[in-house]
Amino acid sequence: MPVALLKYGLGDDFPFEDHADLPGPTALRDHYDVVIIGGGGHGVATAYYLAKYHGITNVAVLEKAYLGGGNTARNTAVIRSNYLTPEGVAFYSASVKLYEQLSNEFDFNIMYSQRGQLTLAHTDATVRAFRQRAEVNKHFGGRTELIDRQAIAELVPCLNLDPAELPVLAGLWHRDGATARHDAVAWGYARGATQRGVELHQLTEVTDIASDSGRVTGVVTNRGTVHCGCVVQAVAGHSAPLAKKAGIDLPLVAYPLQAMVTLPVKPFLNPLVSSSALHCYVQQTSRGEIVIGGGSDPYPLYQSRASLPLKESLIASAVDMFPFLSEMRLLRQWAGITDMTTDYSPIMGLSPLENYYLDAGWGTWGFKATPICGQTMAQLVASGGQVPELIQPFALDRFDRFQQVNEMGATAASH
Amino acid sequence: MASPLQSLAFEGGGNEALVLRDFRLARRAGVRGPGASDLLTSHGLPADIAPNRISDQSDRGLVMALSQREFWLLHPDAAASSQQPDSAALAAGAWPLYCQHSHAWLMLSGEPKAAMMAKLCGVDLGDGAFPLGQVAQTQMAHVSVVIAHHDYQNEAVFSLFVDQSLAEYAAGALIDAMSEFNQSGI
Amino acid sequence: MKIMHCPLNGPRNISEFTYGGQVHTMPDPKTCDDPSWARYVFYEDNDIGIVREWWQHTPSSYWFIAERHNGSDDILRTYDPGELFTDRVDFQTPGGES
Repeated sequence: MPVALLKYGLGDDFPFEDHADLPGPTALRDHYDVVIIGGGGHGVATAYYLAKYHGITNVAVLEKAYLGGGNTARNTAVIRSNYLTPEGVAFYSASVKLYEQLSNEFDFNIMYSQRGQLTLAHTDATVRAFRQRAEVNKHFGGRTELIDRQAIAELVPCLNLDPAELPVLAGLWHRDGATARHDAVAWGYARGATQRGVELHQLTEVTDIASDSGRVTGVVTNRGTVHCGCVVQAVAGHSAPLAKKAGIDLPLVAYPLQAMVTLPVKPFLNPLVSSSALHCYVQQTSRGEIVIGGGSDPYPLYQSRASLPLKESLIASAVDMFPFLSEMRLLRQWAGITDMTTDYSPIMGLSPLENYYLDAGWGTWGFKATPICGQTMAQLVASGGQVPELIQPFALDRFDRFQQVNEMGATAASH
Repeated sequence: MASPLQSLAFEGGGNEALVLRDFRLARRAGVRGPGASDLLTSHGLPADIAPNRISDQSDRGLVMALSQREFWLLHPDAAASSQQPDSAALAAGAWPLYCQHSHAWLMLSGEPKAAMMAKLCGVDLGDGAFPLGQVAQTQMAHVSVVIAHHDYQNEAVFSLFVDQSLAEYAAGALIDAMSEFNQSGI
Repeated sequence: MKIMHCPLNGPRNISEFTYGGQVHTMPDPKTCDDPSWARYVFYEDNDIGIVREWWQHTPSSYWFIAERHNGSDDILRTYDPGELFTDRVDFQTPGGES
């Protein structure tokens, strides 16, 4: 190594960024006004909005591993709002609008890249569903339209329009579709929250939840017991087992969801492309890697192992869409545990315990909702339990009322 | 593109190591339910066949047991019957299965048939693990199949039953797998 | 590939099987209230440990019961549902005969 470089690196001229790192570990205090369980995107976003917009800073975020190391790190970073139901579209559209401003909000680049998302229809029924989704989206101010084969070929020249005897009939072109650096989203929120006094405690696992006459009083962790004014749980794949510690049953089933990336290549694929019939979506990251994702594992499991059959079926579908992918090498494959609801919508808001708030049921659609979850959960906490209108449809008791918000068609394997 | 089914042999196979034949027009019928075995007995057929076994009743055809309550009657040399089983005529607790409509029947013969099937199917079909008289309900090239190991015209064969709508796909997959064994000069 | 033992067909690739949900006791649909029906339809136990589940061997349409650890994915035991269910269940709807 040239000596000059070493001198520069060790010298005072080296441009260290102020507050580039999070504050170091501190002792766990005896009491916080708000305890947030889960240091993923949703948890730190909730802390951020509480601190910045509601002035509530006596907040602890408890994370059993490290910041943003769960599903925040494992998702495929698709941001879109082209859902089916008015409730869903209104909610995710609000999230997209927050994402668009997020780098400015943080003064920190989350590498938000609005490249558009294209979903392919291979059957007449899907075309009709797309038409409905396009109209609902337009109604809520989204930029979504139905496009034909020629327009698809112009958008994505390398796409095979006749894959596996399932010719592409039309596409749902969602101009608001985007991607961002998922780690940066968690870091940006965590930095903004901790700068305002929120404590982020990593390697702090909640082992039990104490409650008394319908109210949560504190949480037991591997580092001692913490008393609190209220609790927000935002732990994605482990939502149901955690809620059980508080005596709350959630209508969730945990399935592994697998994805993979190839070695990086030159940029060739601008939009995010997904196929409804092939259960596969393909996109190129800003680093050049091709991300391939698809459907969940066929049966429930609390284990994020990767499996060969899923790899085989995912690659088969990806190669059907983009035949030249058969020439590329896989770099890595991984899985995350997704907490699926039967209607593919989240569970947000109140729980049977008065001051215990739920942010669960995020299945395969959690990353894109990170900002709006943080904002609405912070409003819920700050108001002492007034549920914001935007998340009222996602209440836990909708299952008892048989009033589900069906997003299955707009969610499954088309993230 | 020509249908792979059109290229199937109907007569025994020349110099080819493996031959796939089309028995879609041969007679087959099934019965299922708690009264199925009683029905077989009343027709003088054996009902004590263990599940996943096939029994040769010479001129009365083959009786294949898919479970303790499901039996198929197979007649490779009889033409498909236009008369379908009548549920009213069946004993209480036994329901007809319209196998001619639901399942295509293909027959694979030739010495390396088990080795070839290993390319398409996860179950060991070698003589040691899958002797004559054995039936396997499994998957072949990702689709469901019933494979029966029995004698036909003094030769051990595999009868393959796949969903009618998948017959063309299955025949294509089989012919593709067979090509490795049927190349001349090997 | 992962192997599951089918009580009827023996050891097979896991891809030959279809998951059918946890084994639950069904409340009487005629008499139970909405929340208990919702609980039956939407909720699973969600303990990480050994669960009792319905599985189907797809090629033979045979349903059976498996005891599986949902954290390690170890399949401990598979057996015919006749071990648990001995009677036929008929559904009666209001105004219908059966």
